Amino acid sequence: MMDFGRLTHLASQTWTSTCGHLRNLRKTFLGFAAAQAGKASPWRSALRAGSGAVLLGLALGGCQDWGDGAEGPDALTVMLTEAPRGMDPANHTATLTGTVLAPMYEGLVRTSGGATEPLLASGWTQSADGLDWTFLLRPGVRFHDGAPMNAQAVVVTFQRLIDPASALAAAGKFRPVIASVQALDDRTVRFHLTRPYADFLILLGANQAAIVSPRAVRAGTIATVADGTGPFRFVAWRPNVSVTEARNRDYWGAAPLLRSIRWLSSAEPSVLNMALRNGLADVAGPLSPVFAPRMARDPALRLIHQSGHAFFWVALDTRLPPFDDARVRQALSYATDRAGLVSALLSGFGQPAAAPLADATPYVARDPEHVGYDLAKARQLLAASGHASGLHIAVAVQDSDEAPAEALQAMWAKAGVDLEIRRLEGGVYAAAAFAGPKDKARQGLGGVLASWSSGVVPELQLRPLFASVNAAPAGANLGFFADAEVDRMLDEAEAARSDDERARLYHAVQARIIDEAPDVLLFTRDDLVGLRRGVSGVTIAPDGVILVARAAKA
Amino acid sequence: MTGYALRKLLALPVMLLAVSAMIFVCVRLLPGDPARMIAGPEASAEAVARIHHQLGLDQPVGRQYVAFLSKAASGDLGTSIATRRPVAQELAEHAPYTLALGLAAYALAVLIALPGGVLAAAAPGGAWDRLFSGVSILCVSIASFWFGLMAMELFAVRLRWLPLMGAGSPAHLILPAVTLALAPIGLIARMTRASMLEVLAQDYIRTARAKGVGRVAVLLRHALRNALTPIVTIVGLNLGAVIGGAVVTETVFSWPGLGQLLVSAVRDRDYPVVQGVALVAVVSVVLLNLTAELAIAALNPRIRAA
Repeated sequence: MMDFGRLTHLASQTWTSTCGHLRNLRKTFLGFAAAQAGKASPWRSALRAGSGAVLLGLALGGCQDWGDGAEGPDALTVMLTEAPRGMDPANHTATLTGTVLAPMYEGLVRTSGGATEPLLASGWTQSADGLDWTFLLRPGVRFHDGAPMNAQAVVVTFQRLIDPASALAAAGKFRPVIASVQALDDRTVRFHLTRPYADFLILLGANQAAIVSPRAVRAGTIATVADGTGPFRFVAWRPNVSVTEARNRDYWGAAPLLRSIRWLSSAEPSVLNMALRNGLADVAGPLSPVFAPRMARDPALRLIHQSGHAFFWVALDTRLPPFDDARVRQALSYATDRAGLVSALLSGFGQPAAAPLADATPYVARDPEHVGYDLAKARQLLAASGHASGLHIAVAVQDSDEAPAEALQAMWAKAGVDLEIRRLEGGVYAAAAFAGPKDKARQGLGGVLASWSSGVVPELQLRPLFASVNAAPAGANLGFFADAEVDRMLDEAEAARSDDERARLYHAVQARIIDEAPDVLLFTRDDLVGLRRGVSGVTIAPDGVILVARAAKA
Repeated sequence: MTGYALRKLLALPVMLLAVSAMIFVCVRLLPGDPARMIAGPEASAEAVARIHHQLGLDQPVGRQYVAFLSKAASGDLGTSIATRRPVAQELAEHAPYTLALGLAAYALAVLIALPGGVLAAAAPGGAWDRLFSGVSILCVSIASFWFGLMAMELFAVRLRWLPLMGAGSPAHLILPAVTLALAPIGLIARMTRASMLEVLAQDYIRTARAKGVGRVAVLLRHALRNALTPIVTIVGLNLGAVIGGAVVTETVFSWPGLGQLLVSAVRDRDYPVVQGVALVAVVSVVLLNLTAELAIAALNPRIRAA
């Protein structure tokens, strides 16, 4: 049998030496070309030498390293499915951009597992009316550029998010909540809210609320050069290629174990799998469940997963027949075999939906009985609503979500429902999904298959999807669901001061939504991350951000 | 000939103007909205409108185009909506990779397909001819996406001879270049064989053989040079397709070229970047076709005289 280990070693040696030879060759060739160019028939030989040099130079140009230097025992390489969109934490809404930025930035607080811990703030108090929040800042913290992290920096950070003219991507999350922010002294900051907001600390724990260096904001470099207080500092960003981060030697907290982190990306799920097996990546995610069973068997790899927050559902147009009749919507819900979807599409790495909130969200109230598979009941409801002979529904589906749509097609056919899949490219899909009632009616679109990942704030899941003011195109209430009771309870829950009161209200909202069935709730997908053996300390935050700052490599 | 080349070059700005207007309108006709892509699905319509205004997308398309042109005239192609970096910088960083990949792929294709095709034509119906024709048909028909992934699995994961993806050393170039070379190998091989067979049937070849010129000399000096004209035409026209092929190959191998830039720009509806890549593609195609025509003229004195 051939010894692949030896061959590999030999091959890598050969490549290293080839690279060296080619470098020498380039020097020789360029020298030769220069000498040739001076000789007789200068025009022709110059052309020849020039074109040759260009060709060879181009091919060899790659020989130079990028200076990443991200290899070695304490350098971690992470591969994601998407490259980061920028280096400004306030100017993105993408989970994976947050993942890349997380080691470099810190917020006032950190939320983990439902609890809130102090981070850049060492403590805080809340006024009796719930409108004023005062934070005391941790002393002696500096930004990577050397500037002190003080009350003024916190004011600059949030001022640009709540500025009415702000076009930052995350501004829409903060502007409706924070009325003003002011520095009381060098270490004390006070937020004045527009209304009592129970999830304020969770909002401050989001990646978008990270405190940024005022110097970088003023200079306008923050979009391309990260500048925070985190345990890792920015080294380089090559768009679509890589981001490199190195250990922050002046970090105020416990020093990280890794020397550097390099981030790569590939949109092709199978490449993530190959990168882990080949050793290019120490960590890769989020992985497609398709590869999970095979990876779980690979002794060189380890799989970590957690119940996810990426929620999938089909929004039904509640304004137009036949889905203006709640019984028809309930029938589709009963015709959906969620456990079957999870085992067939996600290899079991997911949770059948039994509530309009993901399992990871506080106040989730699962109701498997009313969000369950019951074909007889589905047929009965359809017959009762006058659709005994069946009905047709056209659903807009993003191209990446074709598989669940096809599975639904087969399931609903058993209840006599003919599902027409309109498979659309991402941008085209977004335009169709967010179209208003008139446009959807004109296109004959009865539903939209969508997914949502709002993190762990119940309000940020329920309000955009079910509040009547957020009916598309204004928001993500794609089926134009309008229910006065749901609207009222959502407002009350947000302002509620006691936890019991909020729990009662959120449970009631969920029961109401299940009863009205504006959406066919499908499933949540687990967050899956693959690690090479020997890598430890990698965790997945409840909102899907992969945390590697505390990781170590054996 | 010089006059011809000059006329072509002078037509380039006019062509660019027409194409840029077309692209400008087309990318804006695409359903989808860059502001929505930036703000995310939970953003309110009002937040999206604010981003629209900041990007200047709330202006009439005509006015946007005039603003684009006046800036472009001074070399400013605008700023990427996604990365907030100048488009010219994005193009300058990505273009060398596509150039290196395209040149490597075409050099490989010509080095394999030209001799292979000549040999196949030298003994039509022979074992080599049948083998080579089979391989070249396979090359044209194989899905480069699938081939790329299989090559990665074999050479990078199982054998570990070559890097999996990305750029950084000549070794990184090998798998993507071979993948991108497949289609042109098939094309050039078949063209070479057909063109050689046609030339070899000419009277002057029989004359050359009759006067005792050696087999190799007949093939290379008498037949190949004459057969090259259609081959060069095909290669020249096909080179323009390199950006199209690069879109797939660069995505599979995470090769940081224009193809990958284009894919992410279209995904994010990053209008200025899509425009920039399209303009680079147009200029390259025009220049490549011109080069091919000049090369044909250099090869064939009859055209040079005309």
